[in-house]
Amino acid sequence: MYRMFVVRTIRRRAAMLAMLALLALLASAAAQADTPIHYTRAVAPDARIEIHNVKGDVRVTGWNRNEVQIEGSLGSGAQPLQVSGDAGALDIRVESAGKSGWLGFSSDSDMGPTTLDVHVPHAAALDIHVVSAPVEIDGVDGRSVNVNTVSGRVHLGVSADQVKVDSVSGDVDLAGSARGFEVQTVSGEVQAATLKGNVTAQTVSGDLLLHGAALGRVNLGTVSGRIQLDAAVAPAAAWKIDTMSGDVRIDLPPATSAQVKADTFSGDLHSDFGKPVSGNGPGEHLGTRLGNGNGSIIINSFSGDVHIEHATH
Amino acid sequence: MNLHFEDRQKLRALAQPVEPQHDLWTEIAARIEREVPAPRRHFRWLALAASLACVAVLSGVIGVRLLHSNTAAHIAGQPGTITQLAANAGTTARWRPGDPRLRGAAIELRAAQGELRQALAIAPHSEYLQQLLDRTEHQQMRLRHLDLGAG
Repeated sequence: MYRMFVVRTIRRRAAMLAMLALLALLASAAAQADTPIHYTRAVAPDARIEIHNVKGDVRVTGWNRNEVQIEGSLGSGAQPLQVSGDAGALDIRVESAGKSGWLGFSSDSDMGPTTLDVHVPHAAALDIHVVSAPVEIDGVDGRSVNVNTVSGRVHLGVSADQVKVDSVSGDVDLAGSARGFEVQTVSGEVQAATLKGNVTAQTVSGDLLLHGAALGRVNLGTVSGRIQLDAAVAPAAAWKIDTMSGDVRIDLPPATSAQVKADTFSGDLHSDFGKPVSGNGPGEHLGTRLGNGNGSIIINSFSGDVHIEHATH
Repeated sequence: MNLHFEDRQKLRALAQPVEPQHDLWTEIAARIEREVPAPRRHFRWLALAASLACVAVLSGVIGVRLLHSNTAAHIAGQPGTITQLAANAGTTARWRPGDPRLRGAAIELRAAQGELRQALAIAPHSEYLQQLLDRTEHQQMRLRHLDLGAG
């Protein structure tokens, strides 16, 4: 009889403990769940907006209101969204609760992804820092857009004065335009469909696939990445294109006015403008004048092939 | 025609496995059989030595982390860090980032620098190759800066 009582008591206590454990687990899961973000504040039409988010998504859209609106969800393990600054300059940060230093690898692994959907005045200047979070910016036409990323891809539907992207392995896609476009990556691919103004693009193995209108100062360089440039030469333009082993293809409109100088050490050289000549070594050289020769195009390749062609459009 | 490709082919040929000239297993098996099992009384000393080694390794790791974070904090507060790091470029050729997110890019940059140096050895007066090498070194410095920031 006594033994049965003891067994029942033990069973009851075990059931209670299991219930408590389940409740604790549920409470912990609730604490870990993403927290919704809703934030709005007034800012100047040309305010500088700085955003830091390690992983998740960053979407920035320009609108016609003089206010910043942040929607989205804060990943588990993140501190509450930090927004500081004033109407002229606003700083928005997502940081790990566990460790200071937003770039820290532990903050990447300890924290869930955070989604930031930010609306800003269309003339705002942007400064965005991410690690793996993809960045999408649309409808912004302010004085500058700067993006720093490690592996997150970057889409820029902007028409800002100056656009600058520093990436390690993330791809970069400029769908808008900029008077000055500056980009560097190690292995990310760079694409631009509607370039104008001045362009500086440097990669190691990433390809540069660039199309645009009249370009003034152009400085392109890759170690092994492919270079494709389809654009017009602006008056008094200066284009410099260097690669070690990447292939280069330049498409020029028929009315181009420029001095063209192209050299390969061991790669092949084909040109619709002028005739390349071979020297003593395996490489080829081209020197020719197109139209009045106003601009300057200099192409150097060590072992990559170079094609200079008539644009077909 | 393409020297760069030929160099790669030669390097690939060097990386082929080499077969031993005789069967090594017989000798290895004989050595294993000769191994005498350690007396039980030595186990305590081994455990003590292992514990001491663990403590030493942990202390080393903590020390390095502290030094690293101090260096990161020091560097974060100083302008011109990239320039200072660039000055040490020669000593950082074998640098390997602590942050795993940067390791692929570091390997790629090192390989690119090696290839550029090979090309420069063939065409030493190519200014553009030197400029490309300078840029890859600048990118490596940027990666180091990111790695220090990652702690």
